[in-house]
Amino acid sequence: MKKLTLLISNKKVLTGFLILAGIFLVCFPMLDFPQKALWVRIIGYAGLYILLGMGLLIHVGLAGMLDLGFAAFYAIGAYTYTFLASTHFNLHVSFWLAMPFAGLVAALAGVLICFPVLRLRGDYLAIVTLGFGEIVRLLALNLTTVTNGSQGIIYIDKPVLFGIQFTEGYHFYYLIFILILLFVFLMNRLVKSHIGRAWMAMREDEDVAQMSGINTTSYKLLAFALGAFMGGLGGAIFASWQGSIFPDNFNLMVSINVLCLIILGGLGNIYGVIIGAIGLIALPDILRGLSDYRMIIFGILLIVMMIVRPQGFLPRRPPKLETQAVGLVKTPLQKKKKGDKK
Amino acid sequence: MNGNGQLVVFLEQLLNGITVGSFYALVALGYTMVYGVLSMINFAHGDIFMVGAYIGFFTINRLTDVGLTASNPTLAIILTFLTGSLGAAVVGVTVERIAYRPLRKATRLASLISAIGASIFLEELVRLIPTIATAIINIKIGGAAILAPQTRQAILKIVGDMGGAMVKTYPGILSNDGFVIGGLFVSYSRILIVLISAVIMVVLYTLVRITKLGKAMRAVAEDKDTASLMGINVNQVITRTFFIGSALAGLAGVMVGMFYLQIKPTMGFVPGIKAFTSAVLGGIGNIPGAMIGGYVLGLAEVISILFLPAVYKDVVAFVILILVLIFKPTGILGSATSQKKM
Amino acid sequence: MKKRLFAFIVVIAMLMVSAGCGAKTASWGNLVIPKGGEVKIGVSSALSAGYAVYGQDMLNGVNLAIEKFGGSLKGFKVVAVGGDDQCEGAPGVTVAEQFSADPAILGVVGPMCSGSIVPAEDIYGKNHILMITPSGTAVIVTAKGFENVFRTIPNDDKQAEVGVDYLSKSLNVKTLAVVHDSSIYGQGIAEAVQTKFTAAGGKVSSFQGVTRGDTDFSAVVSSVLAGKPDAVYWGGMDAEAALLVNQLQKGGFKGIFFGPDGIKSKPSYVDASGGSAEGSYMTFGAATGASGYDEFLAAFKAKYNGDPVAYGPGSYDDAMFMLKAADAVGKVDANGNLVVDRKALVDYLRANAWVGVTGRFVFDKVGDPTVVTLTVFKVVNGEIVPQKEYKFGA
Repeated sequence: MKKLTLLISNKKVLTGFLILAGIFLVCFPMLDFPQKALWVRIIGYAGLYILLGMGLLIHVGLAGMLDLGFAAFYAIGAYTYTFLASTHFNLHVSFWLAMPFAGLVAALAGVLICFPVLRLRGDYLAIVTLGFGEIVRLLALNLTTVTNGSQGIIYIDKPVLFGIQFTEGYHFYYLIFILILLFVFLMNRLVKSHIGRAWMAMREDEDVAQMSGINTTSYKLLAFALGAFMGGLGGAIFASWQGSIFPDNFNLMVSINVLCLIILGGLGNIYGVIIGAIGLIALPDILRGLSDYRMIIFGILLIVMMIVRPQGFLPRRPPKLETQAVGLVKTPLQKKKKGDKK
Repeated sequence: MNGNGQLVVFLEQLLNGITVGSFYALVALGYTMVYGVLSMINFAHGDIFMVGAYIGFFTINRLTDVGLTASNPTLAIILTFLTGSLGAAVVGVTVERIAYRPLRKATRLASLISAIGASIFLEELVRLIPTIATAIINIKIGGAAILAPQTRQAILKIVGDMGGAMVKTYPGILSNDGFVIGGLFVSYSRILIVLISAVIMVVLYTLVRITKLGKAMRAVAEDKDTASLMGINVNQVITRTFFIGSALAGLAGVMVGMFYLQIKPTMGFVPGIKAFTSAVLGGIGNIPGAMIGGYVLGLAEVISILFLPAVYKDVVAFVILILVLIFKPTGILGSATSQKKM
Repeated sequence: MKKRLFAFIVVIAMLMVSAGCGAKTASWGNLVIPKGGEVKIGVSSALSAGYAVYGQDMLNGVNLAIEKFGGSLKGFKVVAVGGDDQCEGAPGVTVAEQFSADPAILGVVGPMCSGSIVPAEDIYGKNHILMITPSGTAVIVTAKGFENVFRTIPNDDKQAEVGVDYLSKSLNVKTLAVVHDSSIYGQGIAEAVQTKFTAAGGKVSSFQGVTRGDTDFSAVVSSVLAGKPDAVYWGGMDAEAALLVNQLQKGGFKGIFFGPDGIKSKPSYVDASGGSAEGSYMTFGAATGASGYDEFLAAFKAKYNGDPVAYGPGSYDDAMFMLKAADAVGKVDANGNLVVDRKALVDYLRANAWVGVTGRFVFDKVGDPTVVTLTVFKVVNGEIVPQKEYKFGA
């Protein structure tokens, strides 16, 4: 395991591997092979979950807030896009306007939900976000005049680019691929900027950061809004790809799936998210025979991971950083506190 | 509808609220006791409730097979309650040993995630029992099955009562009869449930107040390390706490099965959240608080029906949860443990 | 940074090229099974959770049909493949995508529920996959006019008509409370019943929706009883009906409980109601005593150790029609592959009359059967017994 981690940490090897993977992924839908449409769909969906995972990673890894209700932002993005671009209200705003708008609406929701819970303790916060996720789903289910309830909304518009309508799976595949590249690029830039430095300072020790003049509240809100934005984008893409949405598409399991993805991959790390997505989303579809057992394996994996390796499979060096911030692993400082009821 | 009719409807709803509140209270006790001694949200507690319902289902069907249900229904019901709660207790203690004890020294969030894993595991296990059993008994050695077809059929029939994805229905033991008071129809089964729950809760409260175990539980809840220094076997206390809490949840599970007839592997999630809400509402860690919280939530839900369409019942519970956690996390009776920031 | 930009441009260029190269097929294409391969019949139904009793029944019906057909189509082995659509829209879409992406699928029996059919139809339609449902009764199912969509059961407009007629004329019900499960199917037929019952001169005392999967209906029960109805009409499925009728009786209701085909199930409605289903009624779109039914029943009992629940016979017919049509229009080409023209398959189905164990079928332009029979059943001593038959289009 150590050798593998070391190997991957070697910059040249990593870059080489990424280029190869990149070329493969780009050419993949061009080739012709049996059940191509199905495979493009599987990898495409894994990609969508990578986008969601990156969003949740910002909440959990950067803002240090365990979010069990990420599906709420996914849902808000999806429904917003659908209201703007379907036969439901007979609005047909262009995808390229409606998608970012959906992201913004989700970001706004993120700020609104984050505000009152900023001071909450880790596990209470988690439950509140879970509650919020369920409230959004229940509202989608019961506000039938607006959302059509359990019957869902169908005939959602597809994106149109240069006159080409995105009717095939590979259209969305490439869209998601480009977005992932874009966000990886943006995130790298962001982390190196003063915003990123503030986030890292907050992660290390929030009290010290606050004393150095960092407005932790604003930075947390920003991180939360950004993560929610990505969730919203993902929702818009999902809505237009599937062509129909139902409240059940945004249930607790979706939130937990995305969470498992980033925990198993290692909270530090975009590459961890990718590994997590492949492992949790693509693999079960690939190993069709085992798909019935997917969830029970998740459950066992979560327990085992927490006991054995809470920092995930591919932690960024130094290994315990992000998990410390979120509170999955104790810092030396935490361990020493007296009268600690954990 | 005249005024008298509306009063009757209102009283009916009150009765509903108290019945449902009894279930919430029973399950909430488990949450609150565990939180008291471990400062941990046992996310899997709702699934213990579900396991109790299934074990009870299994029992009542076997008792029906041997004719006991017909000849002595009261005894059959008592036995079903016993096996349901004891079985759930055993499962609860096992989960504690495997998924929580190793994380005693880890952070709260790690335990929460492990608890999520345990919850998923239990739900999936119950769902998959018949599938797994079918796979096992159909094992062939050298092309021939080990067991004769009749044996396999018999095993399948019995195992079928232990789980499976399909909804299962309890036999209708509790009668639908009742008596009428001033236009209000009160069924005997409702009275039975409310009474049994109340009696058990009072007994529990007394036990915790009086017995050595109860005192030890309170000591551990106050300060685990000091309690251990005073000679209290902390592990034993925790195990017993889980035992009692899980037994109560299991009992509630059997009652729900008998009263509402239907059970399914996912039946624990929503009642679990509502029971947790009740515990928080009454003051987490506070035993009488959990009881009161349960009834308050049950009544709040039915009262909300007077103002909102009935389908928003669950939303009400989640909204109450969020509001309490944000504005008064110590709950109605005040929390037994102090609130600390992560 | 430069590398990434380059990758960007390459990708966009490839995207445009590939999009341009994507040829749009005007024809429906063929099912091609390579020599030695299997032909699959997809069965989209609820195989888990609440309504799995019906779903498994459908799978059983299809498997029996394959067996009776001989197990192979022109020498190619036929297999039934189950897709769990959970009687919901979202999984129905997922199953439709999976089946459509599978080149070996001849056609699909189902989806079981109208709520799954409505979104899934677009996917099956786009991919020209033959779809026959034995149970999707909502009127909207054939409203889009897809040529590849068929159903072997009457729609809910007729079912509501029969229900209202029996309630008002045969049962003399004057006041009716209507409850539905908020689904395309349940709410659809509930609304139709409400309209028709009022038009027939009756009074609808309340009209409410519940959520599927709920177990506690006490609020709805209280408000239904407040209106003192003679009868309650339930628009929805078996699982909730069993609980609702039980809770109605626990609340003191002594009137009539009436439902549509979704509750016609001995195991998951009658037996699951704690005895409360006794005396309730339901409508179901099938003829009783169709030719060949007795042999079918005997074969079903022998193979599955129990009676069909509701849609088993319908699924049997659907699979049988599908196989017979494929047999008529399919050919084995020079390389030994099985080739079935998907358009010819659909046209053949539409051009002929079909006799099955649930009746005789001729399909119209949008896939509805032109002649239908609906039967009113009653639960008597724990068994579902026919009471009256209604014929349309005879």
